[in-house]
Amino acid sequence: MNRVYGALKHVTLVLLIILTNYPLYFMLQTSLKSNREMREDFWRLPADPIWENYAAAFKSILFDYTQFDWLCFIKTGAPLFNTMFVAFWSVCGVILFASLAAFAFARYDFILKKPLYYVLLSLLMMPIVLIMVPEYVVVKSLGLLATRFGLILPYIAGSQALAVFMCRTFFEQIPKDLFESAEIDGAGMLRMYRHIAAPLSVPVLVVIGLLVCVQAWNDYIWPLVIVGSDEALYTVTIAMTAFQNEYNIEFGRLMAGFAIGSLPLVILILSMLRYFIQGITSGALKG
Amino acid sequence: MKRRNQALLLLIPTFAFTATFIYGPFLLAFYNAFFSWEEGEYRIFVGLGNFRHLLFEDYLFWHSMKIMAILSVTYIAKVMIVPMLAAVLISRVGNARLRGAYRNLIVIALIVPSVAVYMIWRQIYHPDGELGLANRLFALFGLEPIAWFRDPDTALLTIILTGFPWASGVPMLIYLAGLQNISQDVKEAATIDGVGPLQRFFRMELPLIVGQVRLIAILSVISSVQDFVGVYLLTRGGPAGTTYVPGLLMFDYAIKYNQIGMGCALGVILFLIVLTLTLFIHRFVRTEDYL
Repeated sequence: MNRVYGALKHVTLVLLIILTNYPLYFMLQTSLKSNREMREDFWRLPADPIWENYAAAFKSILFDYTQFDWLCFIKTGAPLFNTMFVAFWSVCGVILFASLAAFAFARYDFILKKPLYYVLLSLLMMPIVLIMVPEYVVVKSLGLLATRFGLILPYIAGSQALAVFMCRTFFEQIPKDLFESAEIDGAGMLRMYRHIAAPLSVPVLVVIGLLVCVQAWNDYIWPLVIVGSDEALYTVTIAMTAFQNEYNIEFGRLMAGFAIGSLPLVILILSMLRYFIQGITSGALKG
Repeated sequence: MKRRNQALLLLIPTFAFTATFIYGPFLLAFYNAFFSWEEGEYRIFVGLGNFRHLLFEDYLFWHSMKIMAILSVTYIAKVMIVPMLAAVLISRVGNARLRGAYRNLIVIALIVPSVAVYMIWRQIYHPDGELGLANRLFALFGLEPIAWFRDPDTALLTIILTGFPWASGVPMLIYLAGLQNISQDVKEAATIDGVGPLQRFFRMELPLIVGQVRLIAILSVISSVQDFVGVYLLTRGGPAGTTYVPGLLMFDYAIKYNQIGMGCALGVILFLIVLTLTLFIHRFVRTEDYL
């Protein structure tokens, strides 16, 4: 009985993993095909892989190595650099600000606590489409149109509620004895946040970082609105779709671009996930 | 709990950001819900006119609400069950390296941009018996090919099935983080008592991660009421309006028909629905209070 259960566990997991990852497989496989081959048989592996798709995609999201110019590269950056820059600062902003607020909500009582929390929670329920047009007006009037901060600041704002909500759930599960003994030792609010709450909640901070990072990385509509007019600020998704019109999409090249563009994301996700477990174990020893 | 009004200081950055980029724009949209753009240029105050039109005169509104209800219930079921199954199974894998590998392999599927994901699903559902993967599978069992999202009878089912097996990485990680937080003593006690795997889940693990379950329940209610990206990319609400959801109706009003006031009014209604459902869940799914 126990053996059967053990085997069943692994079989189920492997099946889930295979089924969950087939979009990834098809993305890679399509990236080596021409439009004609894709239309003829979407499911078969490419008979004659077209590696030029990758070369073309590389040129459009990183730099054109056939006529490479360092000065130009440093000055304008490249779509991949822009995407990384935006994702990095968005993740930092969300994690820092949201965890501070969540700490206040989880640990302390203060005036207007309940109303403030519900006001914050209500952010989650506001339909994005409804907000987009007025938000564009705000970004424009702050002079952030066609800047990277026109992307970063709204991303930070947009993920606050979700991140506070997630952090609070985990902060509340930290045993209160830990905080009490720290308080007796004279630790202030910020110290307790830095040395107890944050290190013990690394897994949830990782999940939030990952979520924000993936969202910023793969977003299409908002970058199109904010930086679509300035080629130097193109993100990967914009750069990949910018030179194709609706009737003439090179799917192979598009997928190749997405594949190259998500490679740094893979590295980032895997390195973030390494911290997924550490917070708990080191915390248990200290506690 | 300690009473400390200085804690308010910790909220300043969060509220500064959200006030500028979300509350402000939202209030503006809310205000616009009481106006009508007749010729697309001038705005006329119509009071509750937009709401009255949607609730009592617009056939599409109630029709889309019905479809939203079906999609929401199935969506919540999917997000609650499959990621939970994955998280519980992963947390029970003994070997730490293998456990990490399983977890990473599920999460890594997140990197494919949704535009690409839906493109692939369109190919899976291709109506042709040769080109569509779903129809090829049907042929293996001797079944006739069907038109999937192009047939009004199957379109809604097609939308529900999209994304199979729905083992999305983020809910899975949230459950997993909750399961990891369960103290070693509790786990050991369960092992010594010789509880079976199912009992262990229902008697020990589930009660200890109610907080996470509630979190996911609320988040999935919110996204299922508003979301229309999947429907937009697969069917645009068709065929014959069988997959038309309120989010898409709002989008069409505001952007396609240029009736911004009507779109905003619909957005406000959706907001109120989600708010009610969230407060309801918050109230009735109680968590253990540790503090």
